[in-house]
Amino acid sequence: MSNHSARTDSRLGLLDGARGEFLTAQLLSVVASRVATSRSKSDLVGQFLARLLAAAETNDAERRAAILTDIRSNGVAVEDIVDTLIPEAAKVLGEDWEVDNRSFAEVTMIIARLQLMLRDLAAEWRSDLAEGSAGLRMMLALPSSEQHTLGALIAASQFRRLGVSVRVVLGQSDEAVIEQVQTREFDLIAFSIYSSEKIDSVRRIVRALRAGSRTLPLIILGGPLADTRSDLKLLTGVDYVTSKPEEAIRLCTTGRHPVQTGSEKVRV
Amino acid sequence: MTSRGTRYWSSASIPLIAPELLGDIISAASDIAIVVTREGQVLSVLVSTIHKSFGPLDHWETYDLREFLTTESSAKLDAQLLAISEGSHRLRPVELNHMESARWEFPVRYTFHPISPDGTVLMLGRDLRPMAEIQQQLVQAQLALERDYETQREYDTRYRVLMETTQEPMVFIAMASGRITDINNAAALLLGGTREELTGAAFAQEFEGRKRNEMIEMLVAAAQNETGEPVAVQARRSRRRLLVMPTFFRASGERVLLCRFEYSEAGGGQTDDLARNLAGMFKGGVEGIVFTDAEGTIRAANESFLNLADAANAATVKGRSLGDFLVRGSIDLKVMLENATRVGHLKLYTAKLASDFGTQVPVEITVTYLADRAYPSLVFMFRDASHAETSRPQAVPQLAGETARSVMDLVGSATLKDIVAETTDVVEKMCIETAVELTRNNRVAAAEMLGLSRQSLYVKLRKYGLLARGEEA
Repeated sequence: MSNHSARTDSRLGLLDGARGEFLTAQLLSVVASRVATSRSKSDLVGQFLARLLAAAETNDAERRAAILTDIRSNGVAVEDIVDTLIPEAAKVLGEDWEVDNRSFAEVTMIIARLQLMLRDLAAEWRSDLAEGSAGLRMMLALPSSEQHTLGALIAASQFRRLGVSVRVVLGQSDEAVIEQVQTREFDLIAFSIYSSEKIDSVRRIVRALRAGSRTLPLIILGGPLADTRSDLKLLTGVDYVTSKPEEAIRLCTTGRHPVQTGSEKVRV
Repeated sequence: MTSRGTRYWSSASIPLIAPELLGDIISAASDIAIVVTREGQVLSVLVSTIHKSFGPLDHWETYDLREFLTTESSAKLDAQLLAISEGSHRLRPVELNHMESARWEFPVRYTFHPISPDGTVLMLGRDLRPMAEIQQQLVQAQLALERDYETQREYDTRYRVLMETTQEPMVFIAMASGRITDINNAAALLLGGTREELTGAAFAQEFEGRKRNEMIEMLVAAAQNETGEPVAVQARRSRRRLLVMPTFFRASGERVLLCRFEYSEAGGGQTDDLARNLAGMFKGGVEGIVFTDAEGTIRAANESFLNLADAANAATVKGRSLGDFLVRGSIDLKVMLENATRVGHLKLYTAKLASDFGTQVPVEITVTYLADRAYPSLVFMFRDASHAETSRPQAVPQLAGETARSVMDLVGSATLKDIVAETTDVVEKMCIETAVELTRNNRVAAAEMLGLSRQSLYVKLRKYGLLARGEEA
């Protein structure tokens, strides 16, 4: 709709002049954003996954940037790249490795570049600078033995987008993780693990935390296993298992924090 | 392999290799070579003699190779052997993880070659341990990178919050380009632009009549000057006269200037009316004005105050406690600070100013609390009350009328002794009430103020019925 038609259509003069232009622009941007977000996941993956993988495969930073620009110029939102394309690319790489389509060295390199791209894309999401100090604060931790960081960093970017101030703890000893929970004040503690071998690590940390006298915030566990296994809560002693940041925040803010008394403690 | 080579090998002219040499060639061409049956039973293991050894693996022979593989790798081996028996096998390397009695694991990349019609397979393997080591190094380096990045994120937040909230106008300038690399809102406001507009702008161009080189040189000279003499400039956009206080430092191999701003005193005329008038009142007003921090330490005092307190100049009072200049010292100060910070102001508090030379001047003090979160401060206005005291007797006749008549009635109705006693009680009660009120019912402070012991104060409070119910006991 041109400004001209907006003007003539508005018989009462409600959309005349600058106000009309402003409202029309607002309207158009809302429509545009709806169109962009209505692109389905399968469309996105079908059209852009190969391009994203090509970007991650090259060691040429300029080419990588050019491919990303190209993807975005097709109306793909940064959120979609981070939330859909990068996780999908990682999944494809994992499958490729399992069937020996790619060597583990190659997969490691490409995942590292995906992580690099994620950091650039997510740099603008800074919940820490939001007005005032209100809002949730959380720690997102990986057990020391967990080397799969991409998923956790994507989750951190999602939490930040939702306005949570996130402390990411990775590559640190389990003792350091425990120490930080005990000396700082978080509303939420989230552990992220990629494979079943790390369940034990989480259980040990959670047990050590529960043994302390301090009242603990909500503890959740996330990662790809959250969607496939139903025994994680029991095995690790966390309060909830979910891989969805929105769900974690809802649990945290609706006060559905389970009361942990001695008799209710999860037995492991 | 060149095309010529391909032709050579494919033209059926492969040289005949003596069986005793074949083993050497295979062991030299691969790090580990295994011959297995179609079921996966190990017939022979050849370990390269050149390569850093896996150790002797002869004991694998006759066993199922799966016994020396991890679970996932066993499945991969099954898939390969099945593909070979079905003839759908492709010559693509497969990564297998070997495992010896759960003690040690090592990854090997194999190619599978069927070598006889009975399904026997030759597996040529490349040791991937060096590769695995590099991968681990990479993963560790990446973890360290992410950890550092998270730390940097925290510092970055602190820096930004500092820049955004500090009241002091600050600008960072890259010396090489003379451009503004960062500027806070306070500085942008002074210069008459926004942070977005000014970031990246040429610093010198923001000021009247300054060429780039000249400006930077002046700032560097000022920064290196021991006396820290500021540079006077006029902002182009806002027309304000400012003083620039530069600090010069090196960061990451670059020379950087940090400039702080202050209004130039001469430029007071350039500020808005209110600020100009306030400055004028501070400078020339008859009332003493003192600014202190929340603890009562003097930050600034005007000429009138210096006169009242018999102080030589502003420098001799700055940094001292205001209590030093009051006869009742810290008691007065405490009362004023407490009340002013609690309700925002304190009206007409009567006290005496004491100079270092022992002279005393009665004053009336009005205190205003400026509740700025970052820099809470207090303004004290001193009015010389000695004039009011001397003029009061003259005021009595004016009050005359009724007052004079009641005194006449009084004189006739009681003895002088009774009148004086009664008057003392009234005065005493008023003083105690005032002290209690001033100290917000802090009995310890009130007693101190009145020069009474706590016990005596209680006696008097009881006498005048000033104790609240429940306090009697």
